[in-house]
Amino acid sequence: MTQTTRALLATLLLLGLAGPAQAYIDPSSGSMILQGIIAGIAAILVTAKLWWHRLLVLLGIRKRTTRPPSNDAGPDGK
Amino acid sequence: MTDASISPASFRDPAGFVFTRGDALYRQVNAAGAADYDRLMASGLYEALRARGWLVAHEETDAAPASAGAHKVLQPERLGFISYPYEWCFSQLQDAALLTLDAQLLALEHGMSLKDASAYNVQFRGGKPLLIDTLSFEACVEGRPWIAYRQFCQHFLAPLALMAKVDVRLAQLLRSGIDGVPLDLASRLLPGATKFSFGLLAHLHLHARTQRAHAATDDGGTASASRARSVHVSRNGLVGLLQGLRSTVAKLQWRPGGTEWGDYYQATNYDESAFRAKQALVGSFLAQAAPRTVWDLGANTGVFSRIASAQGANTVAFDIDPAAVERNYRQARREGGQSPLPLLLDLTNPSPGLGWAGAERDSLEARGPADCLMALALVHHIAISNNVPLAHIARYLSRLGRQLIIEFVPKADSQVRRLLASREDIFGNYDQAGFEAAFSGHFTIDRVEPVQGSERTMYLMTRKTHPESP
Repeated sequence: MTQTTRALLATLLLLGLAGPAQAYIDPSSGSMILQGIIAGIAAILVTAKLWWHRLLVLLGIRKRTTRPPSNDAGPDGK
Repeated sequence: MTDASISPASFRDPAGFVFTRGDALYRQVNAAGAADYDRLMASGLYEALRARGWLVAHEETDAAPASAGAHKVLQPERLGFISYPYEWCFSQLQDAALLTLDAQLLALEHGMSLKDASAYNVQFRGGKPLLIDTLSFEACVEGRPWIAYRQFCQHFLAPLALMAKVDVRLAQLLRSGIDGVPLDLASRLLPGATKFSFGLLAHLHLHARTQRAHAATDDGGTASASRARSVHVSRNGLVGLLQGLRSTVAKLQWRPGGTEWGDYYQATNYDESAFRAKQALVGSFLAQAAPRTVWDLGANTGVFSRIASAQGANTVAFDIDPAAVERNYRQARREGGQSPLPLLLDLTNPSPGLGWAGAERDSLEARGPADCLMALALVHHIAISNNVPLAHIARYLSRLGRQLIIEFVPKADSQVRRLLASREDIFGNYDQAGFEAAFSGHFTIDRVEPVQGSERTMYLMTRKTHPESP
């Protein structure tokens, strides 16, 4: 399988099949709600770090090429 | 063609199951798991996991499925020995937890997510953990919290926190609960000071409280369930949560020491040359037995197990002492490759069959028999400390292994004198003649050699009856 076919397949799968998955284990309502809260806090921290990083770059304390921490794992965190 | 036999541990997930046919092991992917499996393979996640050695390899085969509705039949790589979380030391459970989180973070980068986080999905090979359930990955639904969060906390975080902060022996709670340690129980047992760690506060104490609050509502939890469905987490938030969870797990520490045999080799009256002579003797016995699989019972930190693994045998090093298993595992982790698999085992109360129908997790015996057992400096602990008659020991060992390398430790030995110092000697037939008579009931004695520089004797035996393993 070439890189292009693989990428194409992946895109098709992403577009076509990402319906609401049915969990086979009980995720527990409390656990899902708690994640909403912790993830909310985590998102604020990540954003704060991002802005802090930008501020340091602006002030010339940190180089532009340095990647901010906790910001290299998700497509949202470009 | 031989009939397929579906694994009794493989029924929860409709996406597929494991089965055997003859000696071959297969995993059937059902239509229900087809889309997620195809995505795992097409998205590059499978290759990324394989490249890191995080997931067991498999090949797609033309073998006949075990039941209707099959999408594919896979043939996974075989592992030397299947072990369970209640047989792991602290660092093994911690490494398995970190692997699970790292795999989840990697999966997110490929648009997928772990749909379960069971500790039973992790096995050890060459001193490293790896995931064995190829069907654990599902398409990631943007904005949805992690489905397996609760299971991760129950299977990994709760037992690890209890081991690190209360007592390492609390790992045995995993033996009584098939789905990990309930969070409310962990929260009650942990010292109050753990509430000052943000990770333990959030993922354990508050987690237990939210679970309780949303499970015990007047409407039977309907409002909570609907609120749970509406929870939206951003990608950054989810990654942040997972990284926070990872650092909480990584920060937990347990230091071996102070337990029973941690410094056994230093405490014994072995001199260096006697110790080397015993190693040479064991090496020669092993070369004669030429086993492919070895179970070293009472392995301590695995000095003698390593003689077996160096000779190419797939070796499991069992010990009762969490400190010895911990040290052995840390060494195996450094060595990698052909190192023995260290596991915790109390031979007087070995792992039973557990879970649904008592068949989800195999007993120790059901995972055997090993080609060869090693029982060095062990028989006196079982016979004298635990009052097990020699004939009973011989019978059980003949069910666990085909051959046996066993050391007889007489009453004159300082270790036995120590065991008898505080109790009455009710062991009239505990002598070499009694030992040989008891073991001759179940084994033929192939070779007998004195252990130089000690009162002990080493035997190589072959069992008389050869019952098929279940």
